[in-house]
Amino acid sequence: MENIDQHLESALSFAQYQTTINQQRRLLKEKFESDTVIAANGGLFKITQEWLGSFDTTNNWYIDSNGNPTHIDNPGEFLAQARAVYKQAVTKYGEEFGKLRTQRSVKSLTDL
Amino acid sequence: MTQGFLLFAYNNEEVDYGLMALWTAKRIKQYLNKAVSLVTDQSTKQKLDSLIPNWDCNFDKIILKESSATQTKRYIDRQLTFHNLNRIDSWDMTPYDETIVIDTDIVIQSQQLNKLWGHNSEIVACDRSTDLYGVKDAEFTWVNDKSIKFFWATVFYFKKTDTAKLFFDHCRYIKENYNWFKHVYDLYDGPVRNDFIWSVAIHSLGGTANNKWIDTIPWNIHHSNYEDKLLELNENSTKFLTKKGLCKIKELDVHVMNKFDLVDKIKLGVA
Repeated sequence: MENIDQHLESALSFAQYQTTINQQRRLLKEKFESDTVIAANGGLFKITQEWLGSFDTTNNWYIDSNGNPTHIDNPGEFLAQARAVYKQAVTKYGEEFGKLRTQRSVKSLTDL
Repeated sequence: MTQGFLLFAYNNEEVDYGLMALWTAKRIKQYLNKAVSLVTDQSTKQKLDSLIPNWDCNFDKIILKESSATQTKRYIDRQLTFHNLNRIDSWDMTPYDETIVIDTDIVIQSQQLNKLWGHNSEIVACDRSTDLYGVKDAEFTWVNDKSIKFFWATVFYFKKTDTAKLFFDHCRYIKENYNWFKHVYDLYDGPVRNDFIWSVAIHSLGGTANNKWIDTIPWNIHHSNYEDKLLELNENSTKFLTKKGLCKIKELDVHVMNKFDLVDKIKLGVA
């Protein structure tokens, strides 16, 4: 009987660990999603890899996250800024994600 | 163009909204470096006067206005009075050309809100908010299961323009005729709720344009649930004990529903 109790406790503890690590990973992703929104000339742009890859610097009009056309005076500078923001955000995301992976308890996951 | 935050704080029998507003103003200064003005009543001001000397130096302007209506509302396990209907006067009361209004129970832990300044739209509302686990309840998506889209009045940005004034005038009209709008939009039989006023105003001024006459904040603002215990309130993170376990939210703003815990933690910090 004691073995079953221990087994159950261990299973519950593992389930709790899984719930917590998944939750903390999700929050890191949310942080990354928030960090990769940039404001420019009255518009709010969600920067993604696809957005960066398809950015056309010969244009001056871009559609922001709300679907509004926004005029950008210097597209080259805007793209450089977007790349820098994205790089910083994805680096931070990666580093924090790596720290989570090495934690083995609920307490250490939520102490980071 | 002047820019600043506008906070509303009206104490009730148990919740010290004045203290929450003071703490939030300090957070705004720390993270967002913007001016903050406070709308409050005489009794909330007196309570702050008695607790903290020179508290008002944290605000750009103190606007005294008595509560326009008193209702009661459920706070976890008790029924308390609730004075929260003055925010429809935000346009008239703000001293700024551009204003962000936030609830005093939003814990600022990031610089995100600074991205809203200078926005092209005259009103930017919030329709994206989940609980700490990323769950968006149906009640925070639609006003009810056969009605209009839900918008939070918890966080919004506006410019002091004619269009924004029209919006706030319409909000006032909805508040004054709330029983009628409650019937038309099948709003639940609780107290008058700012979120519903906002949702109806955005919907009705949008005609059939599917709410697209306003813009929305393109990131998620998390909220805890009423029963979530706030365990820690740190420099850039908060820790909760929820029904699902421990949860730490870091460098993201969070709307704390459990005001009792929030005030307790703030008091510890103030002391």
